[in-house]
Formats: sequence, C-alpha cells, structure tokens
Amino acid sequence: MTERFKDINIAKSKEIINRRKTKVSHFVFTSKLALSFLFISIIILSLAQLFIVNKLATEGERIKQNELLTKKLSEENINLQNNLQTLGSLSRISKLAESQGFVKIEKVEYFNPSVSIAALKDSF
Amino acid sequence: MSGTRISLLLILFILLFLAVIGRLFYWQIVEHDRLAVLAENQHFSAMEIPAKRGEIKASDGSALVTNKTAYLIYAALPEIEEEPKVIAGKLAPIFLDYEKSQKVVIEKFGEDEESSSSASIEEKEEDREKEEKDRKKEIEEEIVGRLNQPGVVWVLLKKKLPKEYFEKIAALNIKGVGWEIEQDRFYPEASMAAHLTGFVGSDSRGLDKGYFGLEGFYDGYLKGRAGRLNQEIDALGRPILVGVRKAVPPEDGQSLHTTIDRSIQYLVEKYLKEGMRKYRAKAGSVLVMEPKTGAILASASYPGYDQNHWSQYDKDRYRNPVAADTYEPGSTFKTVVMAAGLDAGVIKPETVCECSGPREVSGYKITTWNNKYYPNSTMKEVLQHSDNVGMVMVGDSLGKEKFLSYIRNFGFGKPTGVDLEEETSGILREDEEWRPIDLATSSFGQGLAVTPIQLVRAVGAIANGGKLMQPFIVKKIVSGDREVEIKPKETGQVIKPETAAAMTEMMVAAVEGGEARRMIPKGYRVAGKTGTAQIPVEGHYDPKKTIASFIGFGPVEDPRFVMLVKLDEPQSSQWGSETAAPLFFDIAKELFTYFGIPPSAQ
Repeated sequence: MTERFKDINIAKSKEIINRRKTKVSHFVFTSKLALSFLFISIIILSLAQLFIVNKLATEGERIKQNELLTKKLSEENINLQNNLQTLGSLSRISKLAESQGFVKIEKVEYFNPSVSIAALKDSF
Repeated sequence: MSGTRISLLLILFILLFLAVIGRLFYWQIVEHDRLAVLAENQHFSAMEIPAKRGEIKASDGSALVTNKTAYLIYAALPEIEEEPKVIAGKLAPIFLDYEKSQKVVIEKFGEDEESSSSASIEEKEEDREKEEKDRKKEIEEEIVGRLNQPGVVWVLLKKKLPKEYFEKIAALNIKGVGWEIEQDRFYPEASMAAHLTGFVGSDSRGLDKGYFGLEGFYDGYLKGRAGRLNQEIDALGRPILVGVRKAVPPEDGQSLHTTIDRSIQYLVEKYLKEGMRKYRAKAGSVLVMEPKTGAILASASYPGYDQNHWSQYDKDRYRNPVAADTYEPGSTFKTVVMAAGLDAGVIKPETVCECSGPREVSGYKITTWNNKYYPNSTMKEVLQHSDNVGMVMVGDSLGKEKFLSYIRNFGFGKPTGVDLEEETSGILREDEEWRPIDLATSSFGQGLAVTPIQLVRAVGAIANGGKLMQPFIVKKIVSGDREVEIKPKETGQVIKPETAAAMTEMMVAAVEGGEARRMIPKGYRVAGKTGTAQIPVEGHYDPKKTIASFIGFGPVEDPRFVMLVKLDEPQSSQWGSETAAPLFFDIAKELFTYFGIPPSAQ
C-alpha cells in the first residue's frame, strides 16, 4: 500500500510539476510575445515620431517662406492703396483737368421751372 | 604589483569622475543663468510686431493721412567685416540722394518776389556741388563714428528710409548691415490741411509721437500698441512648428474720421494762396465752420508747412494760427457787441446815436476809421458805417458787467474746446482790470485779443438762432468694427432767437450798404462784417500795419457756413473791404455752387 501511495504521490507530483512546467513555458512564451510586440511597437513609433518631427521641422521653412510672402503682399497692398489715393488726390485731378482743357464754370444756371418738364417738351 | 596598478587606475578614474562632476556643477549651477539666456537667444526669436498708426480721413472717407512702408537701417557691429570707412563710402551716396530728394522749397509771403540773389547759374551750380561734396563727407564721418562706437552691438544708421533707397542698400549686400520694416506717414493730398492734421515726429525714446493738430491731440488713440511674438527657432533661424510659440497680437491705432470737407479745404487753400499773393499779405487764415453743428469744414493758413518735411520749417509754422494765435479783431467784433446790446434790451435796431463827432473817454479821443460822422444814425447804420463812436455808445449802454458777461458767454477768454493740441484761450483781462477806456475800445474790437476760432464760433451763434456750438473736427473714432461717434455739442443759448434774427438782418444791411456790396454774388443774401484792426507794436498801434478781415455767413435763409477770412499786413491795401472781403466772396461764391444753393431772388 505504502508503495502504491508512493507511486501515486510521485505520479501526482510529476503531473503537478508537468502542469507547472507547461504553465511556465506558456507564461514564458506569452511574455516573449508581449515583449517582442512591445519592442516592435517602440521601434515603429520611434521611427514614426522621427518621421513626423522631421516633417514638421522642415515645415518651419515653409512657414518662414509664407511669412515672408505675407509681409511682401501686405507691403504691396499698402503701396497700391497709397497709389490709388494719390491718383485720386484733388491737386492731381485739378492739374490733369487743366491739362485736358477743362475750364472753371463761370456762370451757373439753376433750372427751376414753374411748369413740369413734360409740359416744356414742346418748347425744345 | 597588479594590485597596485589596479588601485592607481581606480584612483585615476575617481579623480576623472570628480573632475567631470565638478565641471558639470560649474556649467549647470554656477553658469546656469547666463547659459539659459544664451540658449534662449539662440533658440528663441523675440520679435516686436509694430502696430499700425491710425489714419486720419476726410468727411468723404478719403485718407488725409495714412501709412506707408519704410525701412530702418542698422548695423550689427559684431558682424561687420569691412572697414567702417569702406561701408561709409558705400552708404553715404545713397543717404545723400535721399536727403536731396527730401529738400523742399520753402515759400515765403509778403516779400518782393524778385529778391533772389544776383549770382549766375554757373556760380549757383558750383555752390551746389560744393555743398553736396561737403555734406557727403559729413554723412561718411557720421557713419564711421557710429560704426566705431565702443561697447555697443547695434547702431542705428537711418530711419524711415523709402523703399527705392532701401533696395539700393540691400543690393550692396554689406555683411552686418541689416534692416527692419517700419512705418512712415503718407499724405495722399500732399500738404493739404497740414495745420489741422499736425505731424508725427519722435519722442525722447525714438518712438513715433504726434505733434500739433489732430496727430498731437489724438496721439494716444492713433498710436495703438505693439505686439510681441516669441517662438522657438532652429539653427538656421526657421520657426519650429512643434516648438514653443507665444504671440501677443498688436493693437492697431484707431482711425479718425473728420468733418473736413476735402473739396472745400482744397478750394479754400487755393484761394487763400492766390489772395496772399494778390494782396501781398505776410500771413493769412481762412476758417469755415458749419454754424448748426460746429463742424469745421475747412481751415487753411499761410505760411504753412509740409508734414513730410516738417523739420525743415521754422517751428512757428507748426501752430495752427486759427486756434493758437490771438489778434485784436477790430470791427468784426462789433457784431458780437451789437448782438449783446440788442439781446440785453439796451438798444434796438432803430435806436439813434448822436454820433456827430469824436467822443472823449477818460481823456482819450475816439474817432471813426475815416473821420466821417453820421449824426443821428440808427444802430443799423452804425454797423453799416462801422462807426466806432456809435459802438462806444452801445458799450456804454451795456455797462461793464453786462458787456463782460455777454463776451464770456460768447466764449471769449477761454478755449473753445476744439480738438487741436495747440489751442489757446485768447486774452481777456479780469473784470477788476477793466477801465472805462478799455470798455470803449473793446466795443469796436481793439484792446482785447481773440483767436479766429472764438470769433467764428461767436458769429456762428448769430447764424444758429443764438445757440453757441462747440467747434470740433473729429466726428468718429473707428477701431476695427467698433465706432465711437462724437455728436455736436451745444454749449448754451447766448442770445435769444429774435435777437439773432434781428442781428442777421443788420449784418445783411451792413454788407449790402457797405463797401463790400459790389462783391456779393447776385441773388444771394450774405450776412457779414469787414474789419481793419491796427496791430499793437511795443505799447502803441502801428499806423501802417493792419489785420484785414471779413466774417460772415450764408445763405441767410438757412446758413450752411460761417467763415472768417483774415489777412495780416496786406501791402496792396490796408482795408478789409478791399482785401479780405473780396476773398471772402470769391470763396463764398464757390461754396454756394458746391452746396448746390440756388440764388434766393432770381
């Protein structure tokens, strides 16, 4: 009997040990998988970050160019507005009118008929 | 043996380790602040974003004063590679060209036009060349001096340089010479309304500041507030998008929308300039105001100045004479005294004055301007003849207290409140200082000093049914999409509407029955009064020098304008009726056409 119990105990122990071994190897396998996954993810994300940061960093050059272009257009806008105002200045228009032969009105006639324009039609 | 070597090696490593720790301690703790600043300077750019100065616009929305791009040229001394003399040699011709382009011919009035020097053209050319050569040398020395300044890293070489000159400097590509964009004022109508707008100069810190006129009065509104941009940059100075960025946007200055009518301003300046030449006056002013609101439609004075080149003119020219200079108004003041007498009930238009000869007051003899006397004149005739003796009677009838009370109510002796930086209050002595002779002379406009704008405002009250309005120039202040409107302000009913109506008719009669009757545009009724005031010089009146003036408003039925024309020391004739009056009516005729006012009697 004792021998048999011994055998059973040994078998049971071996079974427990085997089960533990399976669990450990399963755990080891799962851990290895997780670690590999983590490692690969880190590599991928690092590469992605490197790529994105590099892309964004070079965008700085485009921003600078855009800023310069904005400044240039703004300056041009101001110049054009000022040119427009100068073209519309009264002293310029007055000189231009004189050079084109326009003369000052000496006498102004105010048209204020006592009858309607339609009634006056026949007199024209 | 090997044990000793290992120990020695260990000690060496420990010593090296301690040295590294010590050095790290030095850089990270001891030098921390200095290095942090250097790092920030290297990795951060701090940029001031200038605020745009506000514009000044005429009543039709067109700009009288706006902004244009200009350039500030500087030298970063640590980056300079060439010799200062070489750099000066390259920059000086460009700066000299710019200076030459800025020189103005300053017009003078009242002098003989043929007073130019008798030098030949060749001599003048030689002088000019020599002057330019000397000036170029001066500019070079100035640049060299600045580039050789010890202990500085940045020096200013030129401010407010226009684009065409900046491009020439940029093309030279001088290492260490850089530029910043800044703003300068731009005047599309050239020097129009210079006395009203004022100009922009620099304050003690070198920042833009407005002086005189609207630029001075509204400087706080116009200048705005600069913004700031701090951003992280890379080694090449390009912004890093993912880096730190702090921006404070600039607050642009507020714009002023004025009551100045561009067309009226233009024709007033044109006619005044022609009048100054025709009558050979030393100085002159014209002020046009809307009597119902107090809005200033136009104000011109000569000699004037160009706001772009203000530093080349005498400082006396900067002040607007219509608000800053006082003068004895002479007979134009009779309108105010007569209105006071009518309103107080001490006289009526039909009241008769003996006026048969000179009147004696405190030992002084008061005479008429032409030594002609009209016995038994009505008040209407006293004004028509501009009779000083008759006016003394009006003053006496009022008495000192009532006289001074009315004068003060009409706004004399204190500023009108017009929005011009340089306004003064005029000279009106304290009541206790008035003697009988002062009352007598003031009744016909001598012995007291007023500003043109005070007189226009007072006569404007007569045109406006007795209501005194505060003169103003800015009607709206605009900032982005926000607007603040400035409404006309009535400061009091100084005379009754009936008095104003009666006074208006007397002034119409004064024009139609006086020296100026031939000048009235046909079919129009204009109320007015001429004035020829002697100028006090060192305690007495100079018999040869006068201020000729005319004040009036029209059309009488519905006054659209009240205007004062004032000419200082006209040489062609002393008299207001022969100088200021014709000029007034020339402008008035244009105003009737401009406003589309038909004649009342066809």
